[in-house]
Amino acid sequence: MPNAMPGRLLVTDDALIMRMRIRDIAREAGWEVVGEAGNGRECVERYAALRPDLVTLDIVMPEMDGVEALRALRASDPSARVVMVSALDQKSKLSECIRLGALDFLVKPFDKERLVALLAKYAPRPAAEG
Amino acid sequence: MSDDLNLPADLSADEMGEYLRIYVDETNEQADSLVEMLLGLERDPHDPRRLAEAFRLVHSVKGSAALLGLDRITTLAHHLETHFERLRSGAAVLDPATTNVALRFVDYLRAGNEQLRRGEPLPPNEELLAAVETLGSEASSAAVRESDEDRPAPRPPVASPSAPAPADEEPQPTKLPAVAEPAPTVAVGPARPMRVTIHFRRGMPLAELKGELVIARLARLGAVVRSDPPAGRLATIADSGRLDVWIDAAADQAALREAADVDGAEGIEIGETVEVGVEPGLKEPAAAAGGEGRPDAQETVRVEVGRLDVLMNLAGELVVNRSRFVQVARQIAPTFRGAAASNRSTAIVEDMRHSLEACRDEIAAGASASGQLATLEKHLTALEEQSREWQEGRRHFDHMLEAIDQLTRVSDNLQRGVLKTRMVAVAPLFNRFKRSVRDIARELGKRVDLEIRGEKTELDKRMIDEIGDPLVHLVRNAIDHGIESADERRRRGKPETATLRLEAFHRGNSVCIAIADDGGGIDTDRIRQRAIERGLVTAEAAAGMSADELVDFIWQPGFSTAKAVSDISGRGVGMDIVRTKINRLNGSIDIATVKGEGTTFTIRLPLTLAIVRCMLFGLPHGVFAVPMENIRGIVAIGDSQIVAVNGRQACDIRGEFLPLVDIHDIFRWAEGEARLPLSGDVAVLHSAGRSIALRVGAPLGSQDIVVKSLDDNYRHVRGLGGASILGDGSVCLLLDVATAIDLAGGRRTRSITPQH
Repeated sequence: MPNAMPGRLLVTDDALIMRMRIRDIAREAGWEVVGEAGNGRECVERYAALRPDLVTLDIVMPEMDGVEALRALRASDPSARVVMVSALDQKSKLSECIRLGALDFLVKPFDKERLVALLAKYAPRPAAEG
Repeated sequence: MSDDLNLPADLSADEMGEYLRIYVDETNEQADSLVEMLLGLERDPHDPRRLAEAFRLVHSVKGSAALLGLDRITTLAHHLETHFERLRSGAAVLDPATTNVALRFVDYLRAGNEQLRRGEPLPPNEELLAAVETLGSEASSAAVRESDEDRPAPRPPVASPSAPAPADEEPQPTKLPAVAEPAPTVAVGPARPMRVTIHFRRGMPLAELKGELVIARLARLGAVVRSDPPAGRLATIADSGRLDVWIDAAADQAALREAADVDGAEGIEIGETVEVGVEPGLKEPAAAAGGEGRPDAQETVRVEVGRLDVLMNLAGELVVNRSRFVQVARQIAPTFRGAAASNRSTAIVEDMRHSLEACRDEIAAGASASGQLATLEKHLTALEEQSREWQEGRRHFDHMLEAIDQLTRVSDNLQRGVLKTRMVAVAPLFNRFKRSVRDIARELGKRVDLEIRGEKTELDKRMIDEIGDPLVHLVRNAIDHGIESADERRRRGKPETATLRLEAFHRGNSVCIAIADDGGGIDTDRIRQRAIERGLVTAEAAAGMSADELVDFIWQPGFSTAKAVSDISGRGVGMDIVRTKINRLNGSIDIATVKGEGTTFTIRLPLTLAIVRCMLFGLPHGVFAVPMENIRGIVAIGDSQIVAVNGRQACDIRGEFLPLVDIHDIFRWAEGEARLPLSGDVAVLHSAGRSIALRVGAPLGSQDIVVKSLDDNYRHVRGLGGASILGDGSVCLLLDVATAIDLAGGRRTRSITPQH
């Protein structure tokens, strides 16, 4: 399979260290991390400005949580591709996110390979077929 | 419990170092915020905003700690988070016990961070863990069932992805989204149920949610007829690792496969064969158009203070070099600038021109001097040439001055810019006191309100780090000794709750931090008595001392008027240490106290440690720099003003008798060394309310000097605050005025514990 073209990723988490970890792993896996957001509101704003291929979204965040952010993202762009990256104990919120159209989710804390595999799964593929 | 310094397998040691630093910084900030929330909640335990924020902070700490494999912190945070979720949902109410446990968690977190900074493992915390675990155990258990988040976790909180997923989850009705979400139409064709089988990775966390996800994604392609396990029992996927979904869809196999292929799915089988080849393709995200929409949000970067120090130093060097240029230019200036020089050579040229004419006339009269004439003409041409070159040089010199001007502007801006990056608000420092004031007051059974003002005032980061301890000491002192008991206050007709004000503000080129209490003020009678008891002053001398002079005794090493050494202050760390520390920062501290009304300590600090505005003095041993902060004035004194008091020289300056001091008295130089004449200029230096008159040579002007530490480059010398390099490349020494006043005997000092 040919290498997928580098996807453009927006990383959302209120913890700097978590953003760094996701960013570092994503970059190593060939993604272009086009932006970071520390809460849901920033995520929605930056999504509108950056139009990334994929968004990672935390759930518990200040100002606007991940559920609300996902709702807003999907409302403004029904094709928005969002994977939730959240702690184990946010089960009912995660379930709500699934209903709202989240593409997938990853449970924190995660191993590096898990995130790499998840990202690879949702890397954009060349849209045009010969 | 695992060793807390075990690296997660996929982090390299380098990465770990970087992550740890970020983790420590970030969680320290979160600790500060959490304390603020907790203290706010103490007043209003139901405040939903603070409850939500406290929950979020704990949750965030948990996540970060888990990322680094810091299990002790993760576990504590998990239990605390669980309880805060109960509080947030109203299932329990915040009580003082919870607040205390949460504050202990904060303490543990901070202490742990200190350990991590030093590369040491986290200390044991069994006791705290037990306390955190029992949180909410007395809370009504009936209210605890609202949602799964509300339930105390029955399992280890940090389920690593390989840990077995909970098998004891209550079956939860899983809502199928088929109806709610409009299914994007894909391709039209005969609909027939197909079976999609997904094999999941075993032991995946939240396997039931993965099942839910697959069903939701498939439901977008058609109607999900049924599933095995059924919607309500998806939790069994964790063990079986398998989910079958029957779907009535017109979509082809590839689309179904793609929909079922979630993270964690290891194999997918599609039960019915359908024609392959058509590529409907699930909607791909619209490719971003061009490169527009780059991030322009203001992002921040964390920088080690050490790196800023290096920058600051380099900027300082640049400023010194620039001064050097200025100085050299000043020295060259007379050559080019002097109109005289230019006029003189012009005059010479003209003279020669005249004599040449004269010579020519003589020749015309008959004499043959053509050889001489030719020589003269040659000289003249050479001189003209030289004059032109000089003019040229003068133009270049003007250009150089412009360049120096430009360099000055740039280096000043650079320095200011670097300074600015080092400035941080005092708010986090001040906010920390909300907690300690509460704790200290509680311990002493006093009621104290902390009032914080000017918390946005900015100060050099290093300064903020250094000023913390002295502030803690002063605040403790204020509550312990300054503020009276509630009974006493009532007797005096004051409000029972005392007010302690912590305030920061700008004063010229410095920042002041005031610690003001409305307590009883400093009891000068007690000080007088103590001073006499300790033999610091004779009874007669003490009787004649002003209140200010008496108050000054509190700066004496080991001086305390406290009736009993309490647990809080008076642990032998005296006010002298506070002052020494502030002096080291080139700052000063003053006291204003009114009996019965309170005491205010005002710490005055330069904006930065690195640059000090100084007056330079030429002394027989070289140039000394004295911070402008410490100079009251420069006065010329005559013999008539010099008097002897108790066998020591003093001088009368506008009616005030000040000890007259020579630099020898400060540094105890041998008697034979060159001395300044008796009369002449003296600089009146002051610090913490004490003054001396120091004999100085001619003042050489004021200048910003970039201070280099003597401690780092040589060794600590009492009385010197550092050294600096001047524009001409020579070294000047920075006088530490407070210590100099001590050493010179600005007042009789009997060092009980000499420092350094």
